[in-house]
Amino acid sequence: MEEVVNNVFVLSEVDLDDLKERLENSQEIILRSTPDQLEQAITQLYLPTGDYTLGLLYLLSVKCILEFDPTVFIQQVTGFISSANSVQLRKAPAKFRLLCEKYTDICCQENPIIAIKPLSEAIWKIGNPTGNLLTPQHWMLLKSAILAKCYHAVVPHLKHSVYNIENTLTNVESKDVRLFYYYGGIIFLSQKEFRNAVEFFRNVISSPALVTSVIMIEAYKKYVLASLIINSTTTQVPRYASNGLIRHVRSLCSPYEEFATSYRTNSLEDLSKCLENHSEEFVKDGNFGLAKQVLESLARENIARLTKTYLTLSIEDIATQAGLLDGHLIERVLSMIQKGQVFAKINELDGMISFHESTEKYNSTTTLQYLDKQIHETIGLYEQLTTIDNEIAFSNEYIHKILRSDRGGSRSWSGMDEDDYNSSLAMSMSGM
Amino acid sequence: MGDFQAPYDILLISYLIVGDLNNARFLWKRIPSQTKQQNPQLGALWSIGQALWNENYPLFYASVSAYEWNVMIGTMVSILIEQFRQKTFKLLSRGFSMISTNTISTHLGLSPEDTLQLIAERGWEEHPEIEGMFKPKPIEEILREGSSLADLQSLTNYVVFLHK
Repeated sequence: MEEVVNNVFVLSEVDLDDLKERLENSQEIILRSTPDQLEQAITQLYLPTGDYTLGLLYLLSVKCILEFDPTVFIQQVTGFISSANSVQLRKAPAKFRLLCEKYTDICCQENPIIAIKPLSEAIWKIGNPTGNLLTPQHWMLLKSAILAKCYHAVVPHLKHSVYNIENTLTNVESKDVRLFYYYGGIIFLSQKEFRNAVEFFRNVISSPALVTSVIMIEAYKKYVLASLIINSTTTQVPRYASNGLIRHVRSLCSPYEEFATSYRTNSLEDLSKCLENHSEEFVKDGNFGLAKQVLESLARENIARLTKTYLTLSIEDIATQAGLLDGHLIERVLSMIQKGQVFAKINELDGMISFHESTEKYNSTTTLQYLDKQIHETIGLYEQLTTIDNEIAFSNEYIHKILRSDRGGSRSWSGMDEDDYNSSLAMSMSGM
Repeated sequence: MGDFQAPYDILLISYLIVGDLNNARFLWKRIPSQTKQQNPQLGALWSIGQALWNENYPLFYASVSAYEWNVMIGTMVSILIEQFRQKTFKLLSRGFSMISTNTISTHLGLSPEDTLQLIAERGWEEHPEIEGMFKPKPIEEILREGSSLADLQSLTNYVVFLHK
C-alpha cells in the first residue's frame, strides 16, 4: 500500500500513463489492504488542487466494491469531484463512471439532493469545454434531480444541445444515451414542456437496438401519454425506429394503446372509463398523474374544436357538445382564455360564449425579439453543422472511402488517383 | 449544521408571485415534514398556492387573509394580492362581453360597494335595462416601438451570414 501511495506521489507530475499501468496492477493490493490503511491512503492523497486525482480515483473506486460507511463515502467523493483534475480524470473514465454510479446510488438512498451539484461539476470535468459531449454522468445527474424533486436545477443541461459522443474520453455506452433521454423526458414533463418531452422520448424508442429494453418500454408509455397531451393526432413512431421492436413494445403496452384509441373518439366519458379500468396499471407505472392530464387535455381540445364550427354557442350547448358534466364551464373557459388556448368572450347576460379570431397582429417588439432569437439559433445551428460536415469531409476514413469507390469505378483514372489522394491529404493538412 | 433555516417561505411566495406554480408545488414536496410542522406559516402559504393551482378565486382571497403573516412575508403577500387582482381584472376585461357585479366581486375579492366603485373608475358601461350587468372596456396595450444599436448589429450579422 505504501508503494502504491509513493508511486502516486512520484509519478503524478511526471508520467500519468505509467502511473495508470501501475495502479491497474496494484488493484489486488488495494483490495487486500485493511480499511484503516485504505482510509489513511485516501486522506494522504486528497488535495484541494487535485494533484493526485488519478491515484485517489483508483483508491475510491476500489472502495466501491468493499463495505463502507455511506456518510464518509459521500463526503469523500463530493470532495474528490470538486477537486478533481480533468486531465487525470480522462485517463481512467471507466473508473470514474463506476465511482459516479455508486455515488449516485448511495446518495439517492440517503438524500438525493446532495448529488446534484457534484455531478453537475463532474459533467464539466470529464466532458469537453464547450459542453456538447454526452457523458454517463448526465443521466446520473438527471436521476438525482428527479428523486430530489429538484427538476428545475437541471433544465439548462437539457436545453444545452448535447450531440457528441466520445467513448474513449467519457466511457459512455448506448444505455447512457437512452437513460439520458428518458430521464430528460421526465424532467420536461415535470416542467410541462410536453413537446420537448415527446422529442426526448421519441429519441429513446427510435434508438438503434437489437432487442427491446425496459427503458424503451417505459419511454414508449410516456411517449404515448405525452403526445396525447399535445394532441398529436397520431402517436406514430418515426420511420427510422426499428419496426419489429416497436411492435413488440406495443404489445406490452396494451392499456396505453387502448387509452390512445379512446382519446381519438373525442368522448370524455369513454376516456374516463378507460382511465378507471386501467388505473391500477397506470399507478403502478407512475403514470397516473400524466393520464389525468390527458383527460384535461381532451376536455380543452373539445372546447377548442368548437371554435372551428361555431361563432357563438350557449354555455349548456358547449357543455353537452364537449361532453363536460361539471358546472364550472365559465371558469374553465376563462382559464383557457387566459392561457391563450381559445379566443372568446363570455356574455353572462344571455349565457352565450362567442368565439373570435386571435387578435395577435404580430407587430410588437415581443414578436421581433422572438424572431431575432430564432434566427440567431438557426445561424448557430448552421455553423455547427458546417463544422461537423468539414470534420467528416477532411477525415482520413472519408477520403479513403471516396477514393476506394472511385478506384473501383474507373480503372483508367488510376493515374489521377494519386494526385487526388495527395491533394486531399494536402487539403486535410491545411484544414486541420 | 447550526441554526441555518433555509428560507423556504420566501422562496415559496416568490414562486407564487412570478406565477411558477409548478416549481412551487415541487418545492412544497421537497420541504422536510419536520420543517412543515415547525412552520405553520409555510402551510398557510401553501394553501394560497393550492388555491392558485386550482384557479379557485374565492379560496385565494380567503387564504391570503386567513393567517397573520410576519412582516416580510406580509409585504410579499400584499404584492401577490395586488398583482393577482390586476391580472384578473385584465382577464375579465378580455374575456367578457357582459359581466355581472357578482362575478366581478368573486374574481377580485372585493365587496359589492368596492366593486361598483372600481367599475365606475374604469368607465365600464352599465346595461341600460338590466341592473348589475356591465360591459367591460377593453384595455389598450401600448406597443413599444423603437430599435437600438444592438438591433442594427444583428441585422448586419444576418446580411453577412446570408452572403456566405
